[in-house]
Amino acid sequence: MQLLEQLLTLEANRIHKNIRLGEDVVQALLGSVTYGNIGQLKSNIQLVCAQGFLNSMHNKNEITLLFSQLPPNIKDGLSNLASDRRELGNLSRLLEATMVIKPDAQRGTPDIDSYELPYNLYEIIGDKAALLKEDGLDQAAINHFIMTDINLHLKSFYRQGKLEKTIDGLSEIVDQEIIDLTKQMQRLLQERENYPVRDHFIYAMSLHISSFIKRIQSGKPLRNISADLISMVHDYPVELKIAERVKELIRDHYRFPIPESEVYYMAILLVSLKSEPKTGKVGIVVAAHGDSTASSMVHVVSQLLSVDNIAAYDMPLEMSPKIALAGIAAQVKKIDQGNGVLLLVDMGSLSTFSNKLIEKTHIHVKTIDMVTTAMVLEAARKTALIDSDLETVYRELREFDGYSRTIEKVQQKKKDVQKRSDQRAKAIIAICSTGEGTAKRIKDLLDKILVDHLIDDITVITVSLVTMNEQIVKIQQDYQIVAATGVVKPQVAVPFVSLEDLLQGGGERFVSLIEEIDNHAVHEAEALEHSELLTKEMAENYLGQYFTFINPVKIVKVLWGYCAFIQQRSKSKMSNAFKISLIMHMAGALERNLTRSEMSADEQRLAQVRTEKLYPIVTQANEILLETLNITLSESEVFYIVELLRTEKEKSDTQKN
Amino acid sequence: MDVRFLRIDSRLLHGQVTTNWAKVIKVNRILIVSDRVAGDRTRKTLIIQAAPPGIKTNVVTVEKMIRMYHDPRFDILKPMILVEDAVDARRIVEGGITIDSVNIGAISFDATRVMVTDAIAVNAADVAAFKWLHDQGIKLDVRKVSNDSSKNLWKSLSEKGLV
Repeated sequence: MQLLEQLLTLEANRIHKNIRLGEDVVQALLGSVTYGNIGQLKSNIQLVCAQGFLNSMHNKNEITLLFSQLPPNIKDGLSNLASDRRELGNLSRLLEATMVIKPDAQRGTPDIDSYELPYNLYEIIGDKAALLKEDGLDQAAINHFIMTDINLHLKSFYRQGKLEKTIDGLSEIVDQEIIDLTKQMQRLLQERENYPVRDHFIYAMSLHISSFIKRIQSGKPLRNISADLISMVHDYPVELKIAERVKELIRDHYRFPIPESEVYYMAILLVSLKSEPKTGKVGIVVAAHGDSTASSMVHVVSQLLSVDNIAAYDMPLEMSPKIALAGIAAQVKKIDQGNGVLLLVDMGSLSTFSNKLIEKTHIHVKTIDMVTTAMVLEAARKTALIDSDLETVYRELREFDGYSRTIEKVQQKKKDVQKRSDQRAKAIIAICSTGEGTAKRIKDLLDKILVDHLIDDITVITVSLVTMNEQIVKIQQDYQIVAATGVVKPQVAVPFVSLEDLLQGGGERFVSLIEEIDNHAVHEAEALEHSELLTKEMAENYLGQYFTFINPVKIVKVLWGYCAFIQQRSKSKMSNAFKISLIMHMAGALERNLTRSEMSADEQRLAQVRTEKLYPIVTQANEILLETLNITLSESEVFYIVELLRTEKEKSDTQKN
Repeated sequence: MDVRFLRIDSRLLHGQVTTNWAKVIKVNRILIVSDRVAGDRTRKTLIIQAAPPGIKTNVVTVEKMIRMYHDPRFDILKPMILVEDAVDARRIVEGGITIDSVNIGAISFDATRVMVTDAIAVNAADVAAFKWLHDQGIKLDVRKVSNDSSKNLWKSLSEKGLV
């Protein structure tokens, strides 16, 4: 109900008029959609408001929505709702006979979502109506004409709603106009030329067009056609013909001539898109003894990583292996996306199933035993993004021995790596048809992520599809290629991430797969929090190390009590890590008091802090210090204690969101 | 890279930095430069957890700090750099990082050191490093928090007859 009001306000804001509607219209609107379908509700509201706008065009201040004027499918909503008497009863109590929704600046337009119309529908109606009127059509005919138009438009728009979401990432770097043009191309090529194009066509082609147009607009010289390119394209007459069509479409759309060289580049792009069938991810099936061991592991991992290529099979102890085999085979079939399945098992007969499963399902299966949650997590991570094949994942996972490696092991590993690897610097290659457009953008994107994680020893190198193989050989003389991305997967045995995945926010994950970035920081903080390390003894240790005049053993007990008091009074849980930092800070405050070198703060801040909620709690806690140590801290020291607590609270609040 | 602030403090990132410096100086990154901490997981995790909200914090080695400083890709960073002692501060400046003042918060007393101010203790290596920094024309600004009145460490060292 509140939602409906909000959506109506949105429309009212758009047209700057009040919207008046009766109880029956509200009921019909609510009844016209299935429960929870907000997109549909929004679409229906936009439809009736557009209609109301049309009918009330003479009224400057208000539009009225009448039940009698509603489209039939929305009218049906009332009877839908009526069939649920209780719902109707509840609703009627909430409703007034007539509702007036006013434009409300405060509510404003919420964040644009994929169901939000990209332009102002009402302006279009206004313009179109004026136009038709000039043509001498009567009002009824105009209304009918425009309604049909709107209806069609809204329908197609919301049908696309789902697809839009996945293209969101793309629209951040490519103009919507180009994406639309590419989609139109996809449709035309499929329908008229009978040329199959997959979804990643949209990514690759729109990026290509966008960089091409940028190039033209910036007045840069056009690319020349190399002999290599011509001879290569010659082998693909079909793609050349299609590229010719694409060129015409771009030319017609932008109304400027497209150089012949572009046709060749686009043909190459099409060839590469075709030669790269999108294989699915490697599937994972976890099978373990016990009523829920496997499913709880899988549950944890899917919650952490939101992956869809993982299934569980629980094998209670009394279950016969035969039944288990059949059950696992079913899961393997379910999860396979054509790229094989990794079976993670705990022990016993389960570890011998590989061959039987291959026989039964004709799916490539590899088994690893002694499964742990960490291993499932790692398997999901490895298979989630990169089109790595089953063998690679299998090999890497066998070497996996948990996240919480000791430092020695990590150092050992680093040494091994150094021994194995040569002196070559690391590089990621980004591939597009020219090596100058899309690849450059990918480079920018990845560079940004690399910088963000302070990774300075990986270079991103752009590569053109035309001379890809030669270039890669050349790069390998100076660099060790650690990963690849772009429009096509090169013949190099390194992780590859497709353009779609990269643009859909896979950049972070991509980099984290190549380099152990501090993504683990969160895990580590948590591990540390639950470890036995953060104790009074550790605080004592640090106190001894950093302070000169206070006695750590005696003072730590007092300050531990101080933390407990604040925690209890402020009713918010303190992490052990923060407790240590607060103890350190307090010890500093005590030492500064003893050496008469307290910190200063200006009057304005001191006055401000007295109004803080935490202020009285800190002053009460300071009573403890007075009682036990006969020390009174200055007001500015109190200010810094409150600030420290407040900053910590702010941080935990932002983390929760 | 535009280094906004360089501070020497044995405790690196702690209350004085989170509640005060990180708020008064406009930085988009806190870099803790210490070979010791980079190899000490517990300390590293504790320090990163003490970071103020909204500012990314990393622990890097001195060598990496210098490498990044000279890499134009990192030009967008406007960091505050925290080091444990004067020797590391000197290594960073020797590595080419430009700065006209070094802030000194606290340097813990230990058996090798003597107290020169209420919070700063130095040993022979520290004195040599401070002397080098002073000779480069870099101001040695002693303040725990921004509101404290600034004292010149060079003066304190001179008064103590250490330089």
